Amino acid sequence: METIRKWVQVIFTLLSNGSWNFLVTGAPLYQGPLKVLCAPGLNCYSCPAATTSCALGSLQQLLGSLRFSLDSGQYYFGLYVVGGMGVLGAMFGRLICGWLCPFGLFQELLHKIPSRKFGVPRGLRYLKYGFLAFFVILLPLLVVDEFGAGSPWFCKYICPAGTLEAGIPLLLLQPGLRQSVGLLFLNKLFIMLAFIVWSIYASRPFCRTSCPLGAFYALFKNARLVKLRLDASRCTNCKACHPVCPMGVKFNESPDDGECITCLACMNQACKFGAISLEVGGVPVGGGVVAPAPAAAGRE
Amino acid sequence: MMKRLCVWLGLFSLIFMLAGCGPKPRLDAARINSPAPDFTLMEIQGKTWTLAELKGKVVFLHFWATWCPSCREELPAIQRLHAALPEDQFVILTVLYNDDPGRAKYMAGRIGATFPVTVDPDGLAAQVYGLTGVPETYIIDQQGILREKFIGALPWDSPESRAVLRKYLSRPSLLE
Repeated sequence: METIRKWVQVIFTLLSNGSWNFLVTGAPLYQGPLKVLCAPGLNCYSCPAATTSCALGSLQQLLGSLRFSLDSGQYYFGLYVVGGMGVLGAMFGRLICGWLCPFGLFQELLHKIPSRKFGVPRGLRYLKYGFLAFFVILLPLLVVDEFGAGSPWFCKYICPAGTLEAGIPLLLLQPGLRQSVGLLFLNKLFIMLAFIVWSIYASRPFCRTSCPLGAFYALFKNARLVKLRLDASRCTNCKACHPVCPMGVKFNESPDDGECITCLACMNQACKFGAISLEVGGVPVGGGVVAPAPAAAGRE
Repeated sequence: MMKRLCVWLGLFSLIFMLAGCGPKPRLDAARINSPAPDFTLMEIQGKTWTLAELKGKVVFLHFWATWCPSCREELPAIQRLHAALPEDQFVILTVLYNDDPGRAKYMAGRIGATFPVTVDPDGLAAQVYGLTGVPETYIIDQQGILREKFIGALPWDSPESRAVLRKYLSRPSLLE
């Protein structure tokens, strides 16, 4: 199952970044019809290869332009963005982080680099809700310029996915842009490098501490359609599910944890008692059986 | 082994397919120090602008959008530049990109902008000038040669920016 998940991640990364003819033609960003769609995971709109928009960027644009739209009488409320994110969240929650997010895949690959591995302090998980509340919602909405329009604060000051997928490639592809490199870019470059190094030593540190999109999807932790279920009668509290979880979830203690990305590692690789199963809309669809011996599990 | 090979072949096929789906390159895209491609731009108020009619004037062709934060920061400086230079020598044309003219009209009105705000029907000007995003500015000299391309926002009323523009004016003292 882990192999299938990896392939799904790779395919979604390629689909979200499928406009590669810029390498041959130097053509500008893809602006075709697919760009009206938002990628479910974190993927920068301005990546030269991006075929879709970023949900988080679109949400900030929407909130930043709300007052300007009201003032100018041009009413655009971006119902699709909020509606789309809500539908995805209600259906899949943070399963999207585990299966469909290109930046999640990037961190997972970095974590495969051999090194000593560390955990992430649990208290840092709440930071991402702060980024969602302030940098994605309140600051774009409330800090406005002379026209009454706000800025996409998270994209502008924080987002390491934007620096990786758009900032650096665009500087390489368009020498004319280099004149505009300043402290703002250097700050974002530092943030990106910090998360890259951190990802080698800890599993998915950006998802766990700073991703506002993950924080948004985590709001649906109790209501989502697809989720893992714990059968308390089978659970022996052996804690085998703790070390395999890439998000630091202690599944036997908090099965509805907002950090669970439904990667299925606990169900397929750890639980030998069939206590963890996958359910869709309350109907079990997988798991709940005794896991095979580790040697056989590795050949899935 | 064969199975793995098939998987990789499938993956590369997907990449090639996606690579072929993008926009076609423009072979006639604008180049620096070459004649600037002609354009037809429609002002919100209805007036039509073509490059052919602007021979003998320096043209400041500026692509922008109301949703772009750095475009908004740049707008007042462009207005100051427009106010400082006579229109018989220096024409500022701002071109809206992927945006609503009503929003642009409102925004221009907020700073008392007197430069033309135009739309680019079917995005043809953006295509022939090889626009990579907004804001982006092109300087066309009095002979109709494309001289400069600036990607990103610039402080247009700074001494450095004015020094660049001064080179193309027949009366550089206008920007002293």
